[in-house]
Amino acid sequence: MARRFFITLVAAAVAFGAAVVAFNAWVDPFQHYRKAAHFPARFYNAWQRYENPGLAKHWDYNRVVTGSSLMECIIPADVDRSFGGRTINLSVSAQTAYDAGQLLRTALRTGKPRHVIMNLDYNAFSGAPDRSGFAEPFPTYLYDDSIANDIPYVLGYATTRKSLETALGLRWSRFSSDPERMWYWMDGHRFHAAKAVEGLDPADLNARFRQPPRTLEGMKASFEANLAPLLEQNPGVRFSFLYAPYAILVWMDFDQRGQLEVTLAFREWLFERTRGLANVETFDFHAVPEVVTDLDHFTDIYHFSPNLARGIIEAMSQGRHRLTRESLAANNEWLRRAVREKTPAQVISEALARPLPPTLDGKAYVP
Amino acid sequence: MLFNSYEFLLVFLPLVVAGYFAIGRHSALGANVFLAAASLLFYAWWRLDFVWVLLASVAVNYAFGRRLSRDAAAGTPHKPVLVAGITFNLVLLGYYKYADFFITNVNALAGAHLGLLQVALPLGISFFTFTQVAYLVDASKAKAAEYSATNYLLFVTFFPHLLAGPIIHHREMMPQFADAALKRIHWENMARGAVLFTLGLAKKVLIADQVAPWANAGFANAGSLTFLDGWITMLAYAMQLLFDFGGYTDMALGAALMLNIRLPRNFDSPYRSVDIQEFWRRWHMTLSRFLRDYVYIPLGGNRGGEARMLALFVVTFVVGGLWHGAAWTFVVWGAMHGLALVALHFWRKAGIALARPLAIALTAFFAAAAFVVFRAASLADAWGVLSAVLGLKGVGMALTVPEWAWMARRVVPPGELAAGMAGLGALVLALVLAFTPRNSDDIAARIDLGRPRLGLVFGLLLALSAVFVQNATEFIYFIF
Repeated sequence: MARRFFITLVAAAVAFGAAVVAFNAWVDPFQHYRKAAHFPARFYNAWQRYENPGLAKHWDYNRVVTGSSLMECIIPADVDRSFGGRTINLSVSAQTAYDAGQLLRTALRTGKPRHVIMNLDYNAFSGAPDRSGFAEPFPTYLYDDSIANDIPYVLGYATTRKSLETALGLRWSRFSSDPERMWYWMDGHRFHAAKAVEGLDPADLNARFRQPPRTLEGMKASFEANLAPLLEQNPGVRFSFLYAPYAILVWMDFDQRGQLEVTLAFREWLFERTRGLANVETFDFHAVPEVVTDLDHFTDIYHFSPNLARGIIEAMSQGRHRLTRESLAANNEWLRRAVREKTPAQVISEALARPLPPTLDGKAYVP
Repeated sequence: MLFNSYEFLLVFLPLVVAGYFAIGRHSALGANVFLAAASLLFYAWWRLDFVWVLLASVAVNYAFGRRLSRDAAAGTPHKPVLVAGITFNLVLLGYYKYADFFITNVNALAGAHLGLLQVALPLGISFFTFTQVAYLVDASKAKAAEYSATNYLLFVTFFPHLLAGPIIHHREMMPQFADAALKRIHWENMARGAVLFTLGLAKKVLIADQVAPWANAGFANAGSLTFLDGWITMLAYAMQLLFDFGGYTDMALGAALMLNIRLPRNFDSPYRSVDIQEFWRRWHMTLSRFLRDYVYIPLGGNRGGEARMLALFVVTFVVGGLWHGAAWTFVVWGAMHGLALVALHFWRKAGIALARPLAIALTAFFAAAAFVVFRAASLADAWGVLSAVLGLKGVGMALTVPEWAWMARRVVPPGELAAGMAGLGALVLALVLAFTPRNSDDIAARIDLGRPRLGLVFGLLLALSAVFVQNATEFIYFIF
């Protein structure tokens, strides 16, 4: 009697669990096993860490664009127009060096990418080398090639919910179905100076963004652990690092928090660290005055317009703003001077006085 | 390893149960060795270096216990050995758990700048330390004697109780480990254990984990809560804690029962208690038992007059509070319960009677309010929540916590509505279940095993719970 009860309990659990596993493996909402086949692809911005590894494994491309939210709105077709080839944008909100390392390792293992364009965000190198950008455990089981550890994917709630939504055609979660704009979030955002400085406290510029402090040693350790091995083990892959522009107020924030010199020192260290690698180049847009001090390019002090994003890609394809030892020194010196030319309060009050630009997408400009 | 993890549910538990009984058919000792080894693996899964702390603690206590047992059997109890054994345990616990708390307070009081040790806390150290202190005391009184190193190792490390209890007595466990008849599959224990384990997992992942974001959101905004916010925060945490710790305990008892080992009960619908004394007979019952037997009574109990007894109520509960963690919030939480017992003493003397529903409501409110202090990051945060609950910031019905804003909106996106309703539904369900007469222990003990359809229902509940395991979160009591 008790034995039959127990066997029924276990059998029911196994049968129900197996059905869930089969359903999730068939729908495969995060494209972990195949490129979207049974249903149109859905790109869930809130689940990039889960979906990007599958895209890296199963989509066709030979160039990866990656970075934090600054890079999410780079349109692959724009990159292809400038560089040729076939690009996929695998950016991740709040991406850290650890997130990037895991993702690029997965992509490079496929042998597909010949070119990687990656934004270097200083915040990505703060904290421990294995720090991910989100508090939830990192889904490492999606980044390897083994199916033996896939139980959390095929049995888990997040996958099951997404499978049900996909199979039933529900639109409960925010997603894109456009492969050219998988993670695009700029629709409806306005790019102008008054918007960029909204909500800023001139005495505490970091209050709104709460970026963590960094140390030079910590940043070096994070780079060495997460990115350096990829550069050295893939000499046939071209890595184009990019310092995408911040508004000058970000540099003023660094200065306010005593982070400016650490940041500049990291730039110098990283340049020397990668200088001997023939497959690595770095483009620096941090010290382009007509961009950094013109807040009409931004929607907040970090995020620049889609028009400027196009311009940056075009400039890179033309080899402009490629970092050399001389330009690095000059750029760092310019940044030191620029943060002291005005006070944050002056910059903010001037921004608030600027007339609104006519378009939503920001000014067209090629730095 | 977490009970609510796929590696435990799909690999560890089935293999251990199967291996234990397979070996037990041939060798009782072999089965115990296997179980001890599996328990160490269970412990090491998280951090290998903590295993050495655990093994050192076991080895030293085993040596002290042998000496104490020998002396007690010879009629020559040796108090310095007992004192040395207890001191060893307190020093170990003090180093890992209380050193930084002590240094921080010395720095604050004396204006010193002593550096913090910042040592990581070995999981379950409070539990395995208390278990072994009890063993040493019992051994010195000839109530416990253990000469088998394997059995002693298993007694301390047995995986169902290792990380978060229940706190066990040597005398209630050793006969079970020694009984060769219990190394054979007992299908009734297997079925009832599986039912209890399933209920525990469901309580953890379907209720506690769904309610947790509500409690977290409330405490994150402790300083700005309104009346309604405060009540939601307090109730959410009271339910999260009950279903998290209660769920863990059910899983521990269920897993042990599948192995024919009966662990002592730890919960008995505590929020249905009519006074705070009864609450402590129903909440974390094995800790209450430990504090009574190894703190309150040795310090004098009720043998030294009323004033001393009342003072000991407070002292005992402050020790209980500190056992949970090195923070003033835990001290205050313990003192609140000690003082509540004092108040109850005078209440009874005055002969004031309350209607049962009112008594239950008052006791549950006090326990929940005290848990606000237990959970808060600081006493200021605790006061932020409690002052809102007490209406000291007004009694309006506005919701200010951003995560709950959806409830005040006319149009809510379906996804946000579904997530919000899941949390709200779990909170309402928890409140209903917390005051329902039959709890999980009763259900597992009384379920009619002659009805396989019920097995089907529990099988589906187990699978559904397994689906919700994905975002595994630690059990709250692991940090103690």
